Amino acid sequence: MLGKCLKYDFKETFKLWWVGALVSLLSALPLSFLMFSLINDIDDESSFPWQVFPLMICYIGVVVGMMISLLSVYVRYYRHFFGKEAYLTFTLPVKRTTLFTSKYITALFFNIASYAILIFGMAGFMGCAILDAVGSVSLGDAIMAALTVVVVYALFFLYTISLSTLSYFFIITFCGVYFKKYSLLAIIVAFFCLSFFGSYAMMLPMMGGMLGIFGLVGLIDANIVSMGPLQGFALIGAGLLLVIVAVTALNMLLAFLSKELLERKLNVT
Amino acid sequence: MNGSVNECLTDRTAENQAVETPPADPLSEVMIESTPILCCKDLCKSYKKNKPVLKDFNFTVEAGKITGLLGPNGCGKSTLLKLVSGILVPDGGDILLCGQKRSEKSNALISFLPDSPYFSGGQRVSGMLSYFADFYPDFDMTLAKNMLADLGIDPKARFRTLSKGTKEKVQLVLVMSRRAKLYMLDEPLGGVDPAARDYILKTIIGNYSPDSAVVITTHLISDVEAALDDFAFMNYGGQILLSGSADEVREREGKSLDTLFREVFAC
Repeated sequence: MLGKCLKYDFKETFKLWWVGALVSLLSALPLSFLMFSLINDIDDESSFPWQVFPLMICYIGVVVGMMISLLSVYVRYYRHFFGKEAYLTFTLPVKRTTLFTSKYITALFFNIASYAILIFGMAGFMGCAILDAVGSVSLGDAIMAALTVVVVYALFFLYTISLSTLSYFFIITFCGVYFKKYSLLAIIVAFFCLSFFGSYAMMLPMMGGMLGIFGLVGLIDANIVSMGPLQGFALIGAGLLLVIVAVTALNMLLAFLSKELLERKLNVT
Repeated sequence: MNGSVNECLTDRTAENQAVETPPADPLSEVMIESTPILCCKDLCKSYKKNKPVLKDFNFTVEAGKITGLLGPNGCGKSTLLKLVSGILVPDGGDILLCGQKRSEKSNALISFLPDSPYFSGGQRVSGMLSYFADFYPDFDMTLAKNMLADLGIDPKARFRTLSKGTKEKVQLVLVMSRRAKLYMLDEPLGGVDPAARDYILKTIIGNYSPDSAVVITTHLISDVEAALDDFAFMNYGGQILLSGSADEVREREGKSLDTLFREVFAC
């Protein structure tokens, strides 16, 4: 049944998602070149306003496109579980856990696809930056540096996407179950709060992790801690593993709470 | 209209008599006769504190019967159907389907028609048929297509382009094209024109098998009366005021169910 649920979830989500993804891609492609030329011509004041205006338009296009494509998965989740479609959803001979899992897999796929499209759209900026750097460093080093940035950001996005998807799912479920008539308003307020405070909260583990790594490297370098480089990396690895375990545990808790609410408390009215 | 419905009724009585022939295995005979399709025991549900919609509600539906659940607005008819179909979670009591406690698996036994459209507007009618065929192994695609053709509904049409009545017809086609054990129809005739009501009643009577049951809630009692085997007059709080065989009550009281309903629930 999971396969069938996925088939319809992908189909229905794509109908909303592709519009945002297309806007995002079409805006990101010129934006990447405009950004690069603006950085290069930063001292040339005569061309500055003519570059900034289209750049702003493209930037707004990227933001709006990304918002539409990212929100599409949550719109689908809300409609399917708390909209009029819920009458059909909850009378299907499918376990609620399966329905939830299908939504989560679909959301992860489309959220990752949204970021992938943005990265693809910004490939022009990356390409220009690599070519520009070739004079001072070798082509191989420039490509490696660009790939490192992409991989690091991709990992960060994966961590953020998995956590934010389940957080948003939990918010929708909680508001849908307890606020009923005003659930949509409650969801919008909660989404805003989570995005506002969540963006700061996300900085904390990042900054903490970076400070920890820098501090550890500093300690190792200064030989204050009698530790070889292997032990140092092992310690950093263990720290990262701890973060991964903590995020996974938080994800599992949110998924469990959402499932429990759907199974025990949901009354479609 | 009544003529064609009565024709169907005669056919169905013949079918029921055929089924009543003793089966080879006496144990299975006991099982079929003693296990009702639906059994609600002390069912409770309230949306607000101290305002129960259903309180210690008991209700049984036997196989091979079409039962009319009749009552004034807000007496809990739709709530009962939603509880049985799993859309609402009961506050207390038990719901047994074919002798088993209600679970997500029970959804395979129930074919539920809510009183409002539940498909998204962008979907085509043919897509909705495929959706049902994918999720319900008991869905009869040929029957559904035939019924759509009889009602003059284009399978390529998008759901949002259809009128309210046609949307209801499409959903009824989907629900009645399943080979379910329990059909629960919440106001199936509400927004449908009188000409189509005849076809819908024929469909309800003709499409279900004798080992299944139908529960209909409606205000249009005179339209469905001819099709009902059993009935229950339901009052506020889920109190059953009068129930039994429709024929027996009509004979005993010398009145139609519609007249009796008006007398019992007179304002």
